[in-house]
Amino acid sequence: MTTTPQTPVAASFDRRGFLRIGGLSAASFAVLAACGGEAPGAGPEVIPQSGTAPPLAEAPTVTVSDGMLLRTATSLHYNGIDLISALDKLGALGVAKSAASAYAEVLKAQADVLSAALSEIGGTPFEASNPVVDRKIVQPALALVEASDSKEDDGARLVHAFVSLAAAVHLALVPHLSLPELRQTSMQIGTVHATASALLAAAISPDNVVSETAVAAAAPSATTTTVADVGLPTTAAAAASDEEPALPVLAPVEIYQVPGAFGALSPVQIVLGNSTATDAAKRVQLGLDTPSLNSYILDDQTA
Amino acid sequence: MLQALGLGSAIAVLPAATQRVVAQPEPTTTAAPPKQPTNADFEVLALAQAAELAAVELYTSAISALGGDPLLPALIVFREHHEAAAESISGIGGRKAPNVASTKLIETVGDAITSDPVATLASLEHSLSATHISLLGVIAGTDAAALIASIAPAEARKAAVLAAAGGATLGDLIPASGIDDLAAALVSEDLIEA
Repeated sequence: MTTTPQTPVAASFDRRGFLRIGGLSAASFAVLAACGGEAPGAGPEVIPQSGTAPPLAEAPTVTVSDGMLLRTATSLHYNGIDLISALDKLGALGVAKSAASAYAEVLKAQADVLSAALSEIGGTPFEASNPVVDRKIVQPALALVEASDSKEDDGARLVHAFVSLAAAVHLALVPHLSLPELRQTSMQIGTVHATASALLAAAISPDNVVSETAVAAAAPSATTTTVADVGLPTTAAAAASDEEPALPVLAPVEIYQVPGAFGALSPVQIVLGNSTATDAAKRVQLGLDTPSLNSYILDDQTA
Repeated sequence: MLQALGLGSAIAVLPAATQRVVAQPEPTTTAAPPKQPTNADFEVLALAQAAELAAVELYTSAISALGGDPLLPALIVFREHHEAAAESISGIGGRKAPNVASTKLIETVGDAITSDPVATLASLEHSLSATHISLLGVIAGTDAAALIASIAPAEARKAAVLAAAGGATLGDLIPASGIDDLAAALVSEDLIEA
C-alpha cells in the first residue's frame, strides 16, 4: 500500500502564487475591456457571424382602433356559432341543447349588427371566426369534451363559458372604444350575452342563483353555520390497502346565474376532460381569456 | 330618446368626438377619448345613481312583501348589488354625486312592488339595464363609461332570473335581433320630478 504525501492547503498559497494569480487576473480584465465598445457598457458594434443570416423580422406597428375591436368582437360570434355546431355534432350540448341551438342564430344576428356598425365608421367587416381563439380555446376545449366521460355536462358548461366570455368581451371593449355610440352598441349586445349566460347557468345549475358566500355577506343572520365534527387528529396507522390510491378528480367549477354585482372581466373558468385519463385528455381547468393584442383581428387581416 | 333624457349638454360632446375620428387618415383609427368624467357625465351619473338608490328602496319593500319566498336570499343579495352600484357611482362622482334616490321612480313602482313583487322587480331590472346602456351613449369619459357598462350586465342577469321565476323562457327574454333595443330604458322624466 502506498500513500500519497498530502500537501498542506496553506502551503499552496505562497507569495509567488499570489503574484501569478494577480497577473492572470490583470490579463483577463484587459481582454474583457477590449471586447467592450466606446460607450460605457456597450457591447461590440457587430456580432461576428459566418454565412448569410436572414434579416430580422420587425414587429408591425399597430394602433388599436375601433375597427380592430369591432372586427375582433365580430369574429368571436363566428367562433361561438362554430362551437355550438361542433358540440351539437358530438351530441354534447346536454341540457343546453335547445337554448344553445336557438342562441346560434342570435349570435349570427349580433355579428351582423357589429359588421354594420363597423361599416358605418368606414371599416371592413371580418365575417369569419377568430383564428387565434379557435386554435387556443375552441379546438382544445372541443378535444377535451370529445374525450370526456361526462360529455353532455361538459358541453353544456362549455357553451355557458363561451357565452359568458362573449359578455366579458363586450364589457372589456367599452373603455377602449372611442365613440359613445359604439360603446352603447357593444353593451346592447353584451347584456344579451349576459342574459343568455344566466339562462344557461339556470339550466345547468338551477339552484345556483347567487353564491352562498354572497348570501352570507348580504344577510349574515339569515344563514346558518354548520361546524363539522372532525374530531382530534390521530396518529394511528391507516388501514393497508392493495388498491392504487384514487387520483383526485377536478370538480366542475360552480357557476351562478348572477355571479356578482358587476359584469366580470376575469377569465372564465371551466373544467373539461376525462376523469380517468392520464394523458392529454385528462380533466383540466381552463381559463378562457378575453382577446388581447395577440388575438385582435387587425384592420388589414383577411379571413 | 336621448333628447328626452334632458341631456343636451352631454349630447353636445358627440359631434366633437365624431369629428376627431373622421379627421383621422385611416378610416378606423381611434382617437383617445377623455378618461375622467366630463361635467356632462356627472349629470348622467347622477341619474344612474338615483335609479340605483331607488332600486334599493324598492327591493326593501319587495323583501318585506315576499316573506318566506325561496327567492328571498337572492333578493337580499340583489339589493346589495344595487347599493354597491350606487356607491361605485358615488366613488367616481366624488362630491358631485348627489346620493339621492329617485322618489319619482319609487312612487311609480311602489304599488306594483307590493302586489306582484317578483314580476315587478324583473321589469325594473330590465329597465335599469336598458337605462344604463342608454346613458352609455352620451357618456364621454371612459372611466364613467366602464363603470356604467359594468352595472348593466349584472342587472340583465337579475332580470332574467326574476322573469324566469315567473315562467319566461330564453325565447321570451332574448331578442331575435341579438341586441337590447333599449325600449325599456327610463328617461329623466321617469326619475326626476319636473
